[in-house]
Amino acid sequence: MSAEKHWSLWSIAAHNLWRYRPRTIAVLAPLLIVMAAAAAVTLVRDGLSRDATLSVSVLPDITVQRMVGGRVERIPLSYVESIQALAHVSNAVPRVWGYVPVTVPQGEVAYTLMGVDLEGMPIAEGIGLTIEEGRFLVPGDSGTAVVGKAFASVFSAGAGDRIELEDTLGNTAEFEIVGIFGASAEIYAADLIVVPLDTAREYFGYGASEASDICVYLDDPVNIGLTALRILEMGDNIRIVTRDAMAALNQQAFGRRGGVYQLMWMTLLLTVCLVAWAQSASIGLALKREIGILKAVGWSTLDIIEIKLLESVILALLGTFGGMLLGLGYLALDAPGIKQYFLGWATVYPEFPLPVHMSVSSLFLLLVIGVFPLVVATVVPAWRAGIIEPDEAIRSGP
Amino acid sequence: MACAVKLTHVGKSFRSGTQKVKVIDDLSLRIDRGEAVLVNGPSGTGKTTLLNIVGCLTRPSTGYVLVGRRAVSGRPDHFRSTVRRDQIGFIFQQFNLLAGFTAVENIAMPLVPLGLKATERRKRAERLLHKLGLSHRARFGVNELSGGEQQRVAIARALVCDPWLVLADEPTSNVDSETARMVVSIFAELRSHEKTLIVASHDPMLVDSGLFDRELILPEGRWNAMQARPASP
Repeated sequence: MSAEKHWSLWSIAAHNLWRYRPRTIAVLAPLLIVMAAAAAVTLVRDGLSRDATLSVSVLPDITVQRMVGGRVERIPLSYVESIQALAHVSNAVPRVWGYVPVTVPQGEVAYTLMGVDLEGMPIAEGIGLTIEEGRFLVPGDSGTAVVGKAFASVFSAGAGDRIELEDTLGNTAEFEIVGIFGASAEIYAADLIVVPLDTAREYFGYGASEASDICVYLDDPVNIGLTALRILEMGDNIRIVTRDAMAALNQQAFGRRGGVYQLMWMTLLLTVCLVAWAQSASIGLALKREIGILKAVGWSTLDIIEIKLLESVILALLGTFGGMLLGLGYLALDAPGIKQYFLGWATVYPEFPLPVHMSVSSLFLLLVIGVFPLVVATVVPAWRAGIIEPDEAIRSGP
Repeated sequence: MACAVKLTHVGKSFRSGTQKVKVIDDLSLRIDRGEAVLVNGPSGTGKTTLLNIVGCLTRPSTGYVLVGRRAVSGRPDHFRSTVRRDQIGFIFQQFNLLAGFTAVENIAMPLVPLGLKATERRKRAERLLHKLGLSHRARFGVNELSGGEQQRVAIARALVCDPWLVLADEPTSNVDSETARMVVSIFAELRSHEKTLIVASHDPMLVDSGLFDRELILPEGRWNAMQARPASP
C-alpha cells in the first residue's frame, strides 16, 4: 500500500510539472545552461587533469639536464655511467629530442621528435605507448619512426609510409613509419614522433657522445629525493626534474584554470536558485490554497512535502542530467572557448582529441549542486504552507 | 444514541489587523450519530467557522471538540489529517476544486493517501460521477464545468471515502435550482444510509425539505442565544 501511494505521488508530481509548464520551463532552462557549463568545465578539467596524471606516470623518475647560461644544453654521455653507478638506480639511458615545426591546414604546429635508446629504454608500453598498427622500433632500426594516431590522421599516413620532416635549422630527413601508437594520455602522445637514438642524433646534429637529457629509472620511487641529490652533486650545471615535480606542476595549472570557471558557474547557479525561489514565491498564494485544499480532503503535511520534494527532484535531475548531456555535446564540438584556455598553449601544440573524464567526486558534486538548492527553494515554501491550518491556507489563496 | 460530534465551551477568535474578532463564543453542542442538523443564521455569523472546527480544518481558540469518540482539538496535524480523510466529507461553499485536474482526478484526490491503485481510484470516482449524472464530464477540467457541475464534483469528492460524517457549507448557494434539488436528494440518500449530516444554510429549499432532525438557529448571529428546534416536518 505504501509503495502504491508513493508511486501515485510521483505521478502527480510529474503531472504538476507539466501542468505548470511556464514555471517549469522558467526554472529548467537556466538550470540546463548552468549545468551544461558546469559539466563541460568539469569534464575538461577532470579529463586534462587525468591525462596529465597519466602522462606524468610514464615519465622517468628523474630527468637529468645540463644548463648553460640558463638554457638547456647537450649533456655528455659520461654522466650515464656515473648515474648508473648510484644506489637505487635501475637504469639510466640517454635521450635525444627536439621540436620539429610542421605546417598543417590550421597553421604551423610543433611536433616533438624523440630518439630513444632501444637497448636501454623500456619497451613501448613502458613509456605509455601502445602499438595499434605495425610495430614498435627494434634495436638496429635506422631512419624509422613510430607516430601517434593524431599525426597519422593529419598526414593520412599509415605503417609503411614515408614522411619528410624539416627542422628550423634546415635539417631534412625522411623517415619510414613502421608503427602507429595510441596512448592513454592524449597530451603525452599528440605531438610525439619516436625514432631510434642515432636517427635523432643525425637529424639534430648531435655527436655520438651527446644527448638532450638522461632518463633515470629507480628501483623504488621512494628514493627519488636522495638519488636526485646525489646527481646534483655531480656538477654545478646539472638540473634535475623529478616526476613528482612534473605532476605537481600539471595539477597546479589545471586546478587554477578550473577554479576561475568554477567561480563563474557558481555565480550562474546562484542566479538559478534565486529564479527558483522567486518562482515559488510568486505562485505562493495559489500554492498555499492548493495545499490547503489537499489537506482539507485528507492529505497530511508529509504528503504535501513529499510531492513538492518529488517535483523539485524531478526538475533538478532533468536539469542536471540534461545539462550534462548538453555539456557533452559542447565537448563533441571540441569545446570552443574553453579548450585553449585550459590547455594554455597559444598556437603551436598539435590538435588532439580533448580528453574527457569525470571523477566520481566531481559527478557527486554536480548532482548535489544541481539538486540541493532547487529542492530547498521548493520544499521550504511548501512546508511553510503545509503547517498552517487548511482553512487559513484556503482563505489566503486567490 | 452514540455521540457523533460534541463541542464543549468552544470559542473561536480571528485577528483582524490589530483587533481580535470573536466569531464563536462559549458554544456547547452535541450531535448524535445518524442525526441531520441544519445550522441556520445570517451570513457572517460563523456557520462556516463552526463547520471548519468540526471538520478539523481549523482549531478552536478555546474549548474541546470530539468527533466520533476521539478528541481532535488538541491533536497533532497528522492525526487530524487522518480524521479528515477517514471520517469526514466536507462540501465547501466555493467548491474548492483543484484547477489543472479533471473532474475524475479531483474526486479521486482524497484516495491518494490511502495508497489505492490509480485504476481503483478512477473506478470509484467514475462510479460516483455516474451516480450524479456527470459521467460525460469525467475528463473535463474543472474550469470547463458549470457551477452546478462543479458542485456535484465537490459532493462526489466529499463522499468518495465513504465518510460517516458529512459537513456541507451553503451547498445550494452557488448553484442553479436543478442542482439544488439534486443536492437535496443526495442528502436524503445520505440520511437513508444513516450518515450524520451537518449543513450550514439559510436556503428555504433546505430549511423546508424535511430532511433535518434539528435546526440550530442563531438569532442575530449570537451563538450564546442559539436555539434548537425540531426541523419543519
